[in-house]
This record gives sequence, C-alpha cells and structure tokens, in this order.
Amino acid sequence: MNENLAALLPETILLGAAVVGLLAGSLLPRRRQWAVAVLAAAACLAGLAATAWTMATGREQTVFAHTFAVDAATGLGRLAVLGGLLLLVAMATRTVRSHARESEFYVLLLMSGAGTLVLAGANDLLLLFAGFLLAGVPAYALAAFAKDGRGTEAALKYYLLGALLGTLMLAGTAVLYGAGGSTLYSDLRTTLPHASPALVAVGSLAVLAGVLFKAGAVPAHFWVPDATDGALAPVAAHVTTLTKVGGLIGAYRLAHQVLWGTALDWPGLFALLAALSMSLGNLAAFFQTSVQRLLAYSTIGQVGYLLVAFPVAARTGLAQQSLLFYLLAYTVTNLGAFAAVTALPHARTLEDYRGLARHRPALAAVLVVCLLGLVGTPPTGVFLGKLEVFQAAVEGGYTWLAALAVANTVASLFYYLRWLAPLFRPAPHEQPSAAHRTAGRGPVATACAAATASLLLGLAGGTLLPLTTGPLLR
Amino acid sequence: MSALLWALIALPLGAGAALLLSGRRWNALAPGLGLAAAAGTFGLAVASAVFRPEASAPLFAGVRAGLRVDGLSAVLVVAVAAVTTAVLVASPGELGPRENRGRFFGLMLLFAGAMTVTVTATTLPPLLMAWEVMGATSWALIGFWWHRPDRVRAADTAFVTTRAADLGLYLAAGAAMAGGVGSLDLTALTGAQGGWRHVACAGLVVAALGKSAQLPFSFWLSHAMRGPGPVSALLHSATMVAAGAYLLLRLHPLLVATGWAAPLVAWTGGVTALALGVVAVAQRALKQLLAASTSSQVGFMVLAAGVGDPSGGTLQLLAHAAAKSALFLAAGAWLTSLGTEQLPALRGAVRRHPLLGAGFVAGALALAGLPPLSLWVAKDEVLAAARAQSPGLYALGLAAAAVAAGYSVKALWYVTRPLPHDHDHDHDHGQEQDGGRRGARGPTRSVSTPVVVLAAAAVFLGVAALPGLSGPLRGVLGGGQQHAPNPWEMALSAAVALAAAGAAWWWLPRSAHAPRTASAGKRWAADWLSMERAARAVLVRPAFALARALAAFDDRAVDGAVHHLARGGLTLARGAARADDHGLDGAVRAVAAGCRRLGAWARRPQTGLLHQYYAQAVVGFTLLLSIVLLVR
Amino acid sequence: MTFELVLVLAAGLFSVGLFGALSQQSIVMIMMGIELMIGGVIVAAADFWHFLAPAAADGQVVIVVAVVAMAVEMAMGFAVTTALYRARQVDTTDMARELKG
Repeated sequence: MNENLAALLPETILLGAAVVGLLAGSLLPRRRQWAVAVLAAAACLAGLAATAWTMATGREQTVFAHTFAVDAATGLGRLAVLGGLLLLVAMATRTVRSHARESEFYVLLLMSGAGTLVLAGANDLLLLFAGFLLAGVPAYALAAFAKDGRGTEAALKYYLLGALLGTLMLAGTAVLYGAGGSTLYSDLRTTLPHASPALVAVGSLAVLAGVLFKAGAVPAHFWVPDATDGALAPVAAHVTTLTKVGGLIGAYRLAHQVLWGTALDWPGLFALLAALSMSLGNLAAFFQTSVQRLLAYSTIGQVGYLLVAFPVAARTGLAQQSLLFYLLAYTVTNLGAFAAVTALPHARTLEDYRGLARHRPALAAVLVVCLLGLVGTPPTGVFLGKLEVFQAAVEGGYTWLAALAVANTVASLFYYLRWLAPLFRPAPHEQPSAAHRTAGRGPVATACAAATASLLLGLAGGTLLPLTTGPLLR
Repeated sequence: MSALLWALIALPLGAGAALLLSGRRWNALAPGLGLAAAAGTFGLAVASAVFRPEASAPLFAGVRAGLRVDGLSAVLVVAVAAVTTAVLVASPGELGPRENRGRFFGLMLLFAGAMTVTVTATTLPPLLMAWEVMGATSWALIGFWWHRPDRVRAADTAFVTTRAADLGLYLAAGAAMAGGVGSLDLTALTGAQGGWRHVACAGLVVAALGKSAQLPFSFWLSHAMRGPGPVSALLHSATMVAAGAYLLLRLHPLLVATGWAAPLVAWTGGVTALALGVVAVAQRALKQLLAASTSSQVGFMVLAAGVGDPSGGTLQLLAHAAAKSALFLAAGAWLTSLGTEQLPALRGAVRRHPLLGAGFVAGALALAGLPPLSLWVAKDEVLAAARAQSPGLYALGLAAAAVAAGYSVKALWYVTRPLPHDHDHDHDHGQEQDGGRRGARGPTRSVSTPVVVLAAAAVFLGVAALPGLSGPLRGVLGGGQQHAPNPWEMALSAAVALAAAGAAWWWLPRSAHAPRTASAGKRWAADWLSMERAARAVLVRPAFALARALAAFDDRAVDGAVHHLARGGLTLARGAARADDHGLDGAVRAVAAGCRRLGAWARRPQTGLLHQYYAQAVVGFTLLLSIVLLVR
Repeated sequence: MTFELVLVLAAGLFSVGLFGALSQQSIVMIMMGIELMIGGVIVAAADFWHFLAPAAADGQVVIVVAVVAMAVEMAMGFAVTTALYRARQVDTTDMARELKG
C-alpha cells in the first residue's frame, strides 16, 4: 500500500496550519491575531507550490489503498481551492479584523478548504463522506460567524439541510456497500453492474444527494440563497465557490468510476439536473434586490452550466477538460464579484450600488468584469469554459442542453445588467453615499486581483487546458 | 477630279443650308444668291458630264460613300441643274417680297443637292441619305405656307406616304448586309445570296414606286399640288418623282437577276400609265390634271426600266421634265394672277399673257405625244422596247399614249377658248397694279421666260433622239442600238396620238356643256381611283386603332400594373408594420411577460421555512429516483 | 436474526427518523430524527457486513464513520440552536423565516 504522505502535502499543510493557527490564536493578543491570517496565506501558498511541483513532475498516484487519487482532476481542484482560499483570506481580513474570534475564522476556513480537497480527491465512498463532513461542519460555523439573527438563521438552514442530505449520503454509502461489497470505487466498478439495479439506483442517488448538496444544485439548493444572504460576504463567497469545486469534482469522480458502468440512465438524470439548476437559478434571480441573494441564485445557475459536462462525460474526452477549466475560471470570477461585495459592506441592495462608477471606479470595473465574466463574455475565463462545456455537450449529442444553456445565458444577462446599469447612472446626490464606503484597500486590491486573474485565464486559457486532460486514476 | 464632284454636291447643299438658316434676314438677296448657286451648279454639272469624275469617302465599317458620274448620271445631273435654274428664275414672280424667300430658295437648293447626290451615288448609304433629304425638303416645300392647316395636312399626307415607301430602302440595305454584300455597292447587289436578293429587290422596288407616285402610291401627288407652283414644277414633275424611275433604271440588272421584279415593274408602270391617265382625264383642276399626268408619264419611265431600255427611259425623263415643268410654272403663274386653277374658269388664259400662253401650248402639245415632239420620240423608244418583251405591254403603252393625248388636249382646249368678256376689266386692273395682292398680279417676264425655254426644250429634245440622230445620246448613255423603234411603230403611235387628240378636241365642247352629273366611273377616276381612301382604310385607320389600343393598354395595364405594384408595396409595408408591431413586438413582449412570470414563480419555493425545504428536497429526490428507476 | 429481518429493522428506524425530520419543527426534534436515520444506517451497515462481507473491515469502518457523523452532527446542531436562540429567541424552524424569496 502506498502510504506516501508527500502526495497529500497540500491537505497536510492546510490541516497543520489550521492546528497551529488555532493554538496561536489562543495565545496571541487580540490585536496580533492577523498573524493567523498570514499563516493561512502562507499555508495556501505552500500548498500551491506543492501542487505545482506535483503536476510538473508528473507524480500522479493513488495513495492509501487507492482511496485517494492524485491526478489531473485533483491537481486542478487543488489549484482552484488553494487559490480561492488565498483570495478569501485576503478579502476577509478587514471583515473579521478585531472580531473576538478572528483567528478561528481563518482556522475554520482552512479546515473547510482541506475538506474540500479531500472531496476532490476521494476515490472511496467513506473518504468522500469524510471530506463532506470536514468541508461542511466548519462551514456551518462560519455561516453563523457574525452571530446576528440573519447569520444564525443562515447557519441553521445550512446545517439542517446538510445534516439531512449528509445522512442520506451515509445511507447511500451503506446501501452501495451492501450492493457492492466494498466502498472503494475500483471495487464498486466491477461489482455494482452485477447488483440489483434498483438497489444501485437508490444507493447512488442517495450518495449523489450529498454531493449535490455540496455543489448547490437542484433539488439540494434550498440552503444556497438563505446561507449566502445571511452570512458574511467572505463566508458566502466560500460556500458558493470552494465547496462547489469539491462537490463537483467528487461527483465527477463518482460518476466516472462507478455510475457509468451501471445499466441506469445517469446521463439523462444529470442532464435533467443541469437543466433544472440553470433554469431555476436564472429565473429566480430576475427580480432580486439583495445583492448577495442575487449572487446566490447566480451560482445555482452556474452549477447548472457545470453539470452540462456530466451527461457527455462518457462520450467525449472534452467533458473533463471543460469541467475542470470552467471550475477554475468560475472560482476566480465568482470570488472577484464577492470581493467587490465584501469591499462595500454597507451596500446590501442593488439600489445602494447606484452611481458606484463615479465614486469607486476600480470596484465598478471589477464588478463589470466579473459579472459579465459570469455571463460568459469574452475574453474572460468563464467564456472559454462555457465554450468548452457547450462544445462537449454538442459533441456528446446533448445539443438541446447546450441550446437551453445558451438561452439561459442570454436570460442571465438581464439580472446582471440590472445590477451593472445603475453603476453608471448618476447618484442621487453628489457626495459618495454611506453605502459606498469601502472596507479598506485589502478587499479592493483582492477584487482587482481576482478580476485580473479572470481576464488572464480567458486570454491564456489555452496554455492551461492541456493540464486538465489527464486520466482519472482508479 | 473627285474635287469636281464634291464641289458639285457641296455647292447646292451648302448654299441651300446657308440660305435656309438665314431665313428672312437676306430676303432681298436670297433670289440672287440662290440663282447664282443654281447657275454655278449648272456649270459644275456640265463640267462633270464632260470629265466623268469619281469620288468616294469612308463612312463606317466596310462601307464607303461612293459617288460617280457615268452616262446616266451625267445626263441627269445636267438636267436637274438646268431645271433648277429655270425654276429658280421663275420663283421670285410667285413669291412676293413679303414671303420668307431665304427659306424657299434654301430648301430648293437643298433639294437640288440631294437629287444630285441621288443620281451620282454608287453605294446605298449616300443614296438613302439623299433620298431622305429629298423627302424632307419636299415636305417643307409643299407645306411652305404653313399658316394654312390644310396645306400642312397635305404636306403630311405626301410625306408619310413616301416615307412609308422609303422603308423599302432600309429593308434593302439590311437584306443586302444579311446577304453578304458588305460594301452596299449598288452594282454588287446582284451578288446577294439567295432569298436576301429577293428581299433587297422588293424593298428597292417599293421605295422607287412610292417615290415615283406609281400605283398604289399615286394619291400623294394629288396632295402635293397644294404647294407653291415652282415646287410642283421642280419636285413633282422633273426630279423627285423621276428619282424612283432613275433608281429602277440603274438597278435593272438586279431586277433581271431576281426574275420576278422586271416584269412586275414593267406591268406596274404600264398599268399606272393607263390608269392615272384616265384619272387625269377625269380631273377638273389644272394642277390635279397635271399631277395625274405626271404619274402616268413616270409610268412610262418605270415601264422602260422594267423592260431594260435605259436610253428610252432617260429620254422620257428628260422630255417629260422639260414639258411638265413648263406646264407647272404656267399653271402656277395663272393661279397667282387669276386666283383659280379650275379648268372651266381658266378659259382663254393663254390669250391674256401671250408669251406664257405660247409656252403652255407648246408644252401641252409635247405632253400629248404628238409627233415630232420629244415625248412622242421617247414614248416610241419605250414602246419598242416593251414590244420586244411582251405584246400586252405594248398595247397597254399605246392605250396610255392615247389617253395622254386625251388629257393634254383637254387642258389645251379649255385654256385656248376665247376670253370671257367680263374678265377684261380685271385684267386691265391687274396689269396696272404693282406688286400687291396675290391673284391680282400679272406674270412677269421672269416667269414667262423660263416657261418658254423649257417648252422649247421639250419640243426640240425629240430631234436629238430621232433614230439616226440619236447616236451621240446613246453613246452618252452607254446603251446600244437595241431598241430603236421600227418605222411602222412610229407611224402607229403617231396615228394613235393624233386620233386620240382629235377625238378629244371634238368631244370636249359637248361634254363641257353637258349636265354636270357624272357617272360612278367618272367619279371614281376623279377621286384618283379612291387610292387614298383605300390607303386610309387599309393602313391609316388600323394604325390609329392599334395606337389607341396600345395607349389604352399602356394606361390600364402598364400604368395599372405600376399603380397596383405601388399599392401592393404600400399594403405590404403596412402589413409588415402591423406584423412587426403586433407580431414581433407582441412576441417580444409576450416573452418578456412570460419570463417575468416565471421569475416570480421561481422564487416561490424559497419560502424561508425549513420544513418546506425539507419536504421539497425529499420529494425532489424521490422523483429523481423514480425517473432513474423507470427510464432505462 | 436473518438478514432480511435486520434490514427491516434498519428500514424501520430510517423511516421513523425521516418522518420525524420531516414533520417536526423544533430543531432539536429534527436532529433527533436525523439521528434515528443514522441509527438505521448503522444497523443496515452492520447487517451488510455480517451477512455479505464479513471478511473485510469495510462494514465496520462504515459504522464507525456513521457514529462519528452522529456525534459531529449533534455537536453542530446544538451549537447552531444555541446560537440562534441567543440571537433570535427562537428554537423552531417555522419561526426562523427571515431569509426567504
């Protein structure tokens, strides 16, 4: 058995930093707690370096009795999550500064990130569930970080839905274990096709329920708007972005290793889920007034587009490539939008953003780039990702899905523009309103960095694409 | 040498154009200038007849404008120039100082130039152009007094008729080009291939018959008489009507080559000679009588062309030109001075102005074909040639000669009656007045002299053509001694002419005092054989009906189509606007409203109550499970 | 104790737990329902291990993970309930409906 811990370096670094940070946080004085943020950032950078080294030296392997795979999908997932964590830490500094539990914030963030990485690399049902828990529970706590009525209600809904669907996931694991005699993907791939299809269907769907909960797809999406709306902006950014990465890569691995072999119509199911997610997300976002809620529904819609890559994964190699690249681009772009929202803590509704272009041109530019990037305007990264995904769909025979996705993209332009257009209209009064007070230079800089990264991904995406095409290890 | 020929045609054309353009400005100088130009042309014509020059100029691709003075052209060029000069001498007497003399003399000279080009042309293009110019100047001259609408109508009728016949020339030119005669040379037309030769020949025959007022085109000559006297004298007796006969004479080889043209032309000429002679007998106006007789005499020329006797035809042309122009000048002078041309009113006209009257008598006797005057000699030639072709033609010609004697004697009888007594007063009055009203002036010497000269020529030309003395003439014409008439033929024709003249002289007094009711045949003949009515019914009325129908079609169908198209376009535009407003905008609005409704509906599941979230999630997953289980 | 009988027990536990989670409004009661569901899962996993694959330890690990999940969920649940009560004085889900739409 390959027990090479070096393969798990990023996860280890994150967990180690979390522990050290927890201890340091209880020892450091209140005004020095920002050191934990620095530690978290350092851990992320170290993890990124380790990932880069792994991908560059071609050290794909499965460790710990094939329960964890380090391959192209894990590599991209690590890049997205660690980069996203870096951005989150940077944007959250002002938000949680001089909070009583400032260091715990970063610790919880790191733990949740580590759990997401486990989700992305799990090759075993139990490890998947472990990652689910590790990613979810700190996020429940993060959601209630502000301890106000909205935050706690958000955490409640997040937790309860997570508990139910997590339990369903566990039940599914047990059923699949009963049907297949093992929880390892590689074993299940050989044994499940011979098991009773109904049993396999029940178990797989239950496991998928949990993973879809993490990704925020219909019908496990009910927590997304409330949690995003009620929590702090950085937390909202986390739950809508990073956990989604882990959930989708985990689902992809599950589907690829286990589900395609069975005799059930999984592509059709995924297509249905994709269609429902994108439609519901976009339609419900039309008339939102709260900024964070609008972004929440927008992420549900984005999950729909991401899920388009699933039905065709068995037929075209473009599916994995498009999914991973889209995830990376989506992470950066969504975090940019949330960074802009974080930078303006007093502007909660669309009305508050009126006239922003005059007072905060940098943030207005970031919003324009990121929101239009989420629509899929060239030359951002999401445009390239969407292009790849739609191409994969058409190649795989799901042209109707691609057409629906295009229609939804056009429809989504409406609510983004509903937000963007007032930016450029003159403010009701000359003085910058209270709503336009920024939280400081940190979040603004983070926002600009995220927007720039999104544009760079779009322009230089071609160089990254070959990194995404490695096979999934069993 | 070609410069001589160019000068010959440039002088009358240039002088005519200059005088025409000057109009009234040089009214006093116009007669002198015109006469000088005509005299110069006469001199150049004589020189050309001596030197026989040739000229040619490139026209367009492969076609040249060629001119040449050969035997036939030489005689005609001199004749045209001579008659032009004589008529122009007489013209100022007809046209008072208040008329637009510049226009008149210019047009006359232009006509003379065009006629000269016609008789010297060797290729079709200059012939065609000169033919058209002749027609145009004829129209302008007939309608010279353009304030009078009836004269203008007469000019239009004459012009349209000859112009319609002239289309034959264009047809011939086209057929010649199609038949491979690229140079359009007149002598090369016999070389046209197959059917095109027949087409070309047919076109040329029609054009010639039309210009020469042969059947069935003769009626236009009746209308042409409404022009001034000198115009009738020059155009419609000596030159233009003879141009058709000249063309047929020149193209005799082509007529023979086609096989059917020569007999057709000969018989047409013969029948015209007889029929128009009868028409002339039935006329009561002097100029109308002279016009019908012109057509009849030209019929002899056409007959000569049909049977292939160029010398006879030319002699007939010359003799007729001299005689008829003298007669027309006299008739015009009487019209001016006495104000009438009706024969019964012209009683005793010769006795009023003796010199003029003598000229008229001489011309009339010559016209009758009495021996030994020129027209008798010429007719003999022609009849001899006709007898060689067919006896029927000979008989026809003899009958026509008899009729010619008849109408000439009719005209002569009326004007040689004693003067009515009540006219003496007016005559004295007229002579004392100087200038003044038309119809009151007496003919001056300027009119009488040319009449006498021309009549003398008509009398004596015959001498030059008598067999035995006609050698020089034949040599000039280039023809042989083939058709010299026999002595018995000459005697027969002389007898016929004398008998007819005597019969007419004896019968006229009885008919003059007879009741005026005329028989149907006489009415038909007096109406120029109803040719004009026939032409109107067959051609003019259908053409106008077609024009009216086409105009109605254009108004209703074409314009209607345009209107309907426009209306349809507008209706289509309105429909499109409606479709856009209701359809497209409506569709867009419907989509927007639908999306709005869907957007509002999509938010409703998010009720804020967790147990409802639970319920919806569980139900959702159950449904998904059933879908997965049922759809395989 | 046959295989099917234990499975029926497991299914019964799971169903009761699901019913409880869906029908209760007190947060703690919902958590109880979830716990019952996990109990059912534990029974089922044990059944599967014992009767179908006793050689490997995978079934046992499933049970251990399930127990861990129970504990973690409980801890989290009570923490959230307390926090909510402290902030809003509510402990039922039908009272926590500020975030909606």
